[in-house]
Amino acid sequence: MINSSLVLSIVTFVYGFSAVLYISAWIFARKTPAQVARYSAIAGVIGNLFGFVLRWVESYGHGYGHIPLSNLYESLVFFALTIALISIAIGLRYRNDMISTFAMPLAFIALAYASLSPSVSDKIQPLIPALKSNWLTTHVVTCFLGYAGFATAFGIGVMYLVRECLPGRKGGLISRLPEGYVLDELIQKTVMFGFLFLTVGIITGAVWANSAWGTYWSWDPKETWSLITWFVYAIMLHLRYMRGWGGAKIAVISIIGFMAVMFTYFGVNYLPGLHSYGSM
Amino acid sequence: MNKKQVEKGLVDTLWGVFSSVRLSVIVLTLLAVTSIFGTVIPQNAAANLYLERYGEAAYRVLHFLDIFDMYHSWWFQFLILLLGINLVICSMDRLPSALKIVGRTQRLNPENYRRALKGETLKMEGSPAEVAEGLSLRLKAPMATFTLVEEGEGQLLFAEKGRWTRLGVYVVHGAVLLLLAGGLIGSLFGYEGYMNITEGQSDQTVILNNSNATVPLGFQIRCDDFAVSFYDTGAPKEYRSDLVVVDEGGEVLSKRIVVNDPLRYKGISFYQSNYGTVPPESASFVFTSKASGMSYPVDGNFGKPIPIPEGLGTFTPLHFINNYKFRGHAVGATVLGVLKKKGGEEVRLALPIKSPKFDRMRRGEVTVTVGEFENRYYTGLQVTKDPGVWFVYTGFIFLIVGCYITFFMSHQGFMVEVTPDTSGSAVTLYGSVNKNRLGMEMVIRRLTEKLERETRIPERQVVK
Ligand code: HEM
Repeated sequence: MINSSLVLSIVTFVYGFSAVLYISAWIFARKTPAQVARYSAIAGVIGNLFGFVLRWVESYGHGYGHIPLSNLYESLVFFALTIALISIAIGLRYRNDMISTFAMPLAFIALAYASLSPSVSDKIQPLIPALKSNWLTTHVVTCFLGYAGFATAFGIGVMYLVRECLPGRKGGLISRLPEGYVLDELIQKTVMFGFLFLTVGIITGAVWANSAWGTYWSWDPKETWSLITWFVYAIMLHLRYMRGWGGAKIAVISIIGFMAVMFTYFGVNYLPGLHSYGSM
Repeated sequence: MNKKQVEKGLVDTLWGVFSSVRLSVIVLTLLAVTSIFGTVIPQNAAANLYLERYGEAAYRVLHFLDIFDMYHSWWFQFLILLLGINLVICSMDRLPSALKIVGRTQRLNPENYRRALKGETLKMEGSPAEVAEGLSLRLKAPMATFTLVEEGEGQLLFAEKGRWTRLGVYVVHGAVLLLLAGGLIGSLFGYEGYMNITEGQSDQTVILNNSNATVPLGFQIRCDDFAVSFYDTGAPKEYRSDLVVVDEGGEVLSKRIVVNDPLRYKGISFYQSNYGTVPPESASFVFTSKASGMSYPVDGNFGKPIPIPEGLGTFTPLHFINNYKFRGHAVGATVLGVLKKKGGEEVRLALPIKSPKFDRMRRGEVTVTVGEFENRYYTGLQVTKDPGVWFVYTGFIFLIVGCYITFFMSHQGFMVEVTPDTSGSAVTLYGSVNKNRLGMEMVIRRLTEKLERETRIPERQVVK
């Protein structure tokens, strides 16, 4: 019997396969594995989307149908989907597979953590009253698109530091990465994408909170951490535009920013608050 | 220097400081870093909890710095104020020159473009004038309407679009100011509190959350009914209350509210936030006599002794406890009372509602069980008034629109240079942009490639 957990476990391996191929294409400077990697990544995305929809359908079978964005497992599944999708899109747009070389492992890790970690339950649970809102979908989807943008920026930032700060031979591994200025600009692009969606995510969260509890902002730890993340990236945009920062400094901020994202996503679970992904 | 000059110097310096992006980076960093404290240290908890956790000395320091309610502390508010002033001055400083750029006439300076991004030069059939005319039609869609300038024998086409997008960042900053203004208005003229209304009753005062002061609503809220439902798993599914607004003697509005769907009236919102049961005032009790084996149901009020038939004494129900613990075990809703036996001896009884046989364990002359009682809920409403919320919502819309404009739209200029060439004309595309050079590079490259493809195939050549 085919079910969403099974589909998503298979997708985990497809992502892993694709990540390994991307990395070996890079290491051995071959075109073929990169192409296979891209096709398997696309197959993975389709499977991931299928698993997501299937889980949605299954939740109706349990008698309380809702979009699968209500707990940690479901959010990780969606996170992996957005990372894979965005990195493939950027790769196609800029005709460069390198972006996925660093992003696909992240998609793999997210889904592997969801599928394999014993502490993440994949049970379909009913929605508690506070989550029953049309804002749930918009809020979660936009937040995760933002996170995925930042995850990609993080991957590119690491790539930048590897390329520009490590000594590399001509024709060696490192020199096969895209040129520094391209990476620099891509960090900017992906951060802007992430910033726009995080902004929408925070706003829809605020509107939702206002419709559920009567306050649009209550300094709940998750809210506060999303604001901290937002500040970090706002600082980055200002430093870049007005103080002319670029290159390694910006790459470092993209890494710090992503740590704030990760803390907003996971770390906050260890602090008290209203958000429900805390209950693994 | 006379006094005026000193003053002017000071004003200029202050203006310089407050209009600088350096200050905003510093303030944003401070806000980001200090905000972390409030997420690790629980906010607004009881003093003894802090004392226990941090000890006396640390408690004093943290208390002095308002760390226990840090987002409302003077220094945090001061940082937010600085951010606001910074934004206002910064915008006043730069907006005029931005407006000037947006308002000026199109620049037709080929040298500017020759220094900007450039595509590969293509060869095309036809004289420069013919080619330029064809291109001005064909490239209008991706570029904009062209202005033609003749330069010697060559032709230059200029196009420009998206100049207004330079104002996007002022939309973003204006939005942030609206958010700050909305927050301020809310904290000055709004309040946050709660009301607990028993089913069937009305209330008109709000108890404020942080001061326990009360505020009159100016009208009454009546709760007709409250209900809670559960999933099979035991998790709560829905809380709902039927509320009625009674104003100036009449019922003006009624609404069934659930979490996420509040009642709003006269700028005040009522949210379903919790519930509880109201202790009943009366109940019926069943007394079973050990001697005769007879059972007698009798109604009684809390606090009043009930005579037990067969002259077995009296029973006085005293309290109704929702969650009673009997020797460390939670036994649920329980009636506590005192049994006064024939001889005057008193025994305290605990009668859990769910286990009617509980009192048998005492092996007394008479066994008491709780029969029927009135089970009423009260609904817990969160009540808020926030006149600033509309500023905040307007700010939200501006913020999204402004970010979209600043990030994904740009002020673009194009030049198409057509010069005479041995086989006809040579065409070069140039582009300049106020940001996102990589994007512009791609645009120029794609358009050049497209033109090349189209001119290579004879039947799709430039229309003559
Ligand atoms: C929470 C507060 C703030 C947010 C969210 C914010 C957001 C932004 C954004 C998104 C941009 C556009 C960057 C880009 O083009 O990629 C920007 C630019 C800018 N910001 Fe801010 N900003 C904030 C506070 C400030 C403050 C306090 C100042 C005061 C000096 C400031 C000065 C500027 C300037 C001068 C620019 C460049 C404008 C230009 O391109 O002409 N910002 N800001």
